[in-house]
Amino acid sequence: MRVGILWLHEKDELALQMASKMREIGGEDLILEGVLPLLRPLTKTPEEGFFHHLYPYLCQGEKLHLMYFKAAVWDYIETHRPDVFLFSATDLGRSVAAMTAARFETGLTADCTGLGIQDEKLVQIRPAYGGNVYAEIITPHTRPQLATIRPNIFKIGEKAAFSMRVHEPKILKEDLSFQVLSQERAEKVFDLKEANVIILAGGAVDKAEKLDKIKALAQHFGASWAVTRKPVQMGLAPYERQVGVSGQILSPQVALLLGVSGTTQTMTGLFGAQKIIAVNQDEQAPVFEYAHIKIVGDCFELIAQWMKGENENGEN
Amino acid sequence: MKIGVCVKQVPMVREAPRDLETGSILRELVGSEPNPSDVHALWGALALAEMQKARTMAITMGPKQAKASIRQAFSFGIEEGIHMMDPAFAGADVWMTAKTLSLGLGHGGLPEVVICGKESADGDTGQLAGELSQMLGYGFLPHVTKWLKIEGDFLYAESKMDGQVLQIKVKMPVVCTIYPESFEKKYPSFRAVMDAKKRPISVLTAKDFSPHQSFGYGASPTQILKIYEPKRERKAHLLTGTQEEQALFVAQIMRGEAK
Repeated sequence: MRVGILWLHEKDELALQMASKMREIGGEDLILEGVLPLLRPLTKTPEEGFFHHLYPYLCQGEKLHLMYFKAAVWDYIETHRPDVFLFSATDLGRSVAAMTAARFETGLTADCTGLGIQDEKLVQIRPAYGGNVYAEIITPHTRPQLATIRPNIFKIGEKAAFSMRVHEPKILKEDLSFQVLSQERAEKVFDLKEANVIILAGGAVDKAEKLDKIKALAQHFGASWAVTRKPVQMGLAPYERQVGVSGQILSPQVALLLGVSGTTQTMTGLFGAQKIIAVNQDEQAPVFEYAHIKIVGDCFELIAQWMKGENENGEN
Repeated sequence: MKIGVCVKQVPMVREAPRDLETGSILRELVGSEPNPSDVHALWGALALAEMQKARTMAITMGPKQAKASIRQAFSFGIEEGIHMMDPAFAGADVWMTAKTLSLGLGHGGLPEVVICGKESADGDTGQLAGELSQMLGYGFLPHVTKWLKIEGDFLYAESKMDGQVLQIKVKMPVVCTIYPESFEKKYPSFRAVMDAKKRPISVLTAKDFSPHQSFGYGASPTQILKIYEPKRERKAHLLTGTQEEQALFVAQIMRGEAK
């Protein structure tokens, strides 16, 4: 099986995550190839070991943009006819993936959180209906099989024992029908859906100082913090942080629930969660029916344990 | 100039009643609503139409409930509506949906600018617009936050992608998506909502196209192998030990060092 993976830049961890997963499910015989548009030739070989070949494309133009990535991917697919091509589910990856599916008249599965191989076909797994169920999808007849992959779902594995070859760069011509005139960093817009580890605070958080402790803990673990409906109604947290039927429906890998009673309204928002750890003082709290790991106790005492050795603001 | 907007009717997943045991949506009890991010597409389309004095049309594909999406578009100020309705269209994946819409958009003259919402609330893929652009042979400009100008054959707009704000010059015809919360929210009057109910909607079925064109799930390049509920362990593992031990155990999971 031949697999192409889009590299967005020279240190693209997302590409390495996808490569690692494909190596894990495809074994040693899998041919993994990276496709990388560049403004300048590579000065050194990036992260060795994951790919058999790297296909750099030099782009004529002021800025590297969507259409150069598209051109590089199309050129690679036309020349090398891979069985599978993967994109990270970034705005750019998604855009290139969609155009590619139409160009090669083939299937595309968006936002996969799992991948497998069955009968030499790629099994693409994604949450459906707001994370309520999982769907396994295949592209039986058309090639390449295309998928975008959620960032940070797969871990970067051990480097496989084969060498990577860099090809002579090809030159892609400037596409004057699409030009980027200027580019600047936008204000960071927060999106809970991107978070893989979530700390969810419930009704036990009834004061701003308590929420501050939750925020500090989230920073401590590199997690994102969220709340149930109650703290939002009390005006302690903005709506964007609300999880549940009337808020966001999420599918994090780990959710730590602190002082959450576990109403259906809230828990529906975590249907896709892979691991739920619940801390509650009430042993009978419904949240424990959903949790994988149960701790009966005061969440603020536990927070004090976690934050030992750090100051109150979580900045060490 | 003509501007086309793609809209969609989606199940009300958020408010849907669920089976308390399995968490499944009780589909027979689910209503439908116009896709929330399409409202932003309508505002974006109408802002451009006002700037260019362009004609506007909306198109949807789906069963009879989908008419509500066209009615909503009318109430916002969209002038014409096309409803692609045929059991043959059912179950289409993104590629097939884009293909079907690309054929429908040609009805009554192709628009120079086609506008889509960022994503649908049910499929949640955000891939349709990109596919549609290539099927129509159009340019593609995702995530527009602001129209700057149209000069000759070129559309100038601001777009937000992966945390960057870009100013882009793109040759028309073009397919654009609208980044939510970017354009002024203009809600329709009660009068406009009532008037929208009386307006005619053109209906297109599979018979309006070549008999060689296939549609729906069977003609979709992706197929669903299976759908399953995420595993939920009803019995939580009770973590005992001292608070210090509990904290350490959980910390390892939070850092991805243990499962």
